[in-house]
Amino acid sequence: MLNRYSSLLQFIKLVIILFSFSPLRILAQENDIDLFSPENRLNFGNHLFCEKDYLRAISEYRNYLQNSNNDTIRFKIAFALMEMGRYDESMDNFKSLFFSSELEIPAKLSFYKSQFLKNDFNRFRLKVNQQPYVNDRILATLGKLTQVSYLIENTLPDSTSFINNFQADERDKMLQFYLEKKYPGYKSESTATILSAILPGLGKIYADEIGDGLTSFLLTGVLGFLAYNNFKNDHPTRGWIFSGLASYFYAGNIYGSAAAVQNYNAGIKFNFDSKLNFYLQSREYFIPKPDFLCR
Amino acid sequence: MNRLHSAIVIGIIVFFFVSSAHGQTDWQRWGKAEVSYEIETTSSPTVRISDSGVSSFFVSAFQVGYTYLFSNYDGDNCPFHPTCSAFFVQSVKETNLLKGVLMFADRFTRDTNIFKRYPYYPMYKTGRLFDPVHNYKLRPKEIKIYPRDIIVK
Repeated sequence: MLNRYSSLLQFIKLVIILFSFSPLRILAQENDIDLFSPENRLNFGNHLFCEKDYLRAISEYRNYLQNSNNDTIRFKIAFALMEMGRYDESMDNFKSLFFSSELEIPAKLSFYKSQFLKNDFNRFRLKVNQQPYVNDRILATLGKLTQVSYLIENTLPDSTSFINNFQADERDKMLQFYLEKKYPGYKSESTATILSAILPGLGKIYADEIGDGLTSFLLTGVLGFLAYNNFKNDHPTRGWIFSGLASYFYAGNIYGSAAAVQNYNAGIKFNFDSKLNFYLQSREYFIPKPDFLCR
Repeated sequence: MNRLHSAIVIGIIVFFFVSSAHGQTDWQRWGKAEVSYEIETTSSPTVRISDSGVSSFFVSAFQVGYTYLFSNYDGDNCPFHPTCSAFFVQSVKETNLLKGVLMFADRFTRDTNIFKRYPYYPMYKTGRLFDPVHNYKLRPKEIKIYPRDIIVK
């Protein structure tokens, strides 16, 4: 009992000590801090930017720019707009850094990246070729993006001129993409249709849909056998019903084979585009990352 | 210790007192409840056979026939979205009667293949396998490939 009382007393003492200090901690920050000062807005904006909360970061940065002039922040606003997919707005913001700014080169590169990401590749190439903002320092990078734009579209240039634009460590991968684009391994709809007409389901197997092909073969085969068997055993009505069904699924199998080949080819294109996109994102679209972007 | 015992006894008394106080409030004898286990139909078939054109006539006749002959008995068991009957109706509307009929035969074959289910098709938000009409219209530009590890919304 004595031990229990002593531990209770110790507990009460501890509570009293803790509570006697806590008011100090609660009342510690009663100074006049201006949470909305330009510096605090900048710091908060930077935090939001790093968290990829670009919309709110832009709002903080714009408030900050009302009192200060800062090219880095202007660049960050343009960059945030680009990340949000507002490419036209982003390009206009990048343009404001083209003249008399230390960030001229990264701004120009990002400007072209925005144009590239708009997926309007004709306009992108036109702007590169007209060279309104191009100089030698960014020409190599733009050459790479131009070649990639050909790769995304279906207008492949000669392999030598394509690959010469890339650096040694990029060439293997880009050559692989080039060959995949040039020889994608598409399958022929006509072949699938003919195969299905010869043997139900064969066209689907050709289109890599083995299960569907076998199902199609079984379905048509069983219905065909039922038709044959009923005719043979003097059940013409049932025979005609099963003949109709067998013919119906036979026709459906031919149609389905052509559709399966189209889906197969679309799948190849989808996989190619996904791989290329993933590679471009991992290489930051060949544009060196400015140090002040926390990514 | 005596106090502890007293407290426990008082606690038990209070517990039972509260239980009994709340035990019966309706003053009616308990008995067998008359419960119906029938599931109410939440929607009635609104499809009627249409006479506004050949395609509409066939489609609506198929829908009515399918609803009365199969759906009402088979239940909500189609693994796909859109369901096979909805697929047929949608494909006729988006193409023509002949193409829609062939697309339905092809869909029926895919449905019959019970070994090709998830993850060979992407999942629709309702938990069904997503197999949209626009991928089978023989119009390559309309084909849209969905990654199989996503839920289509």
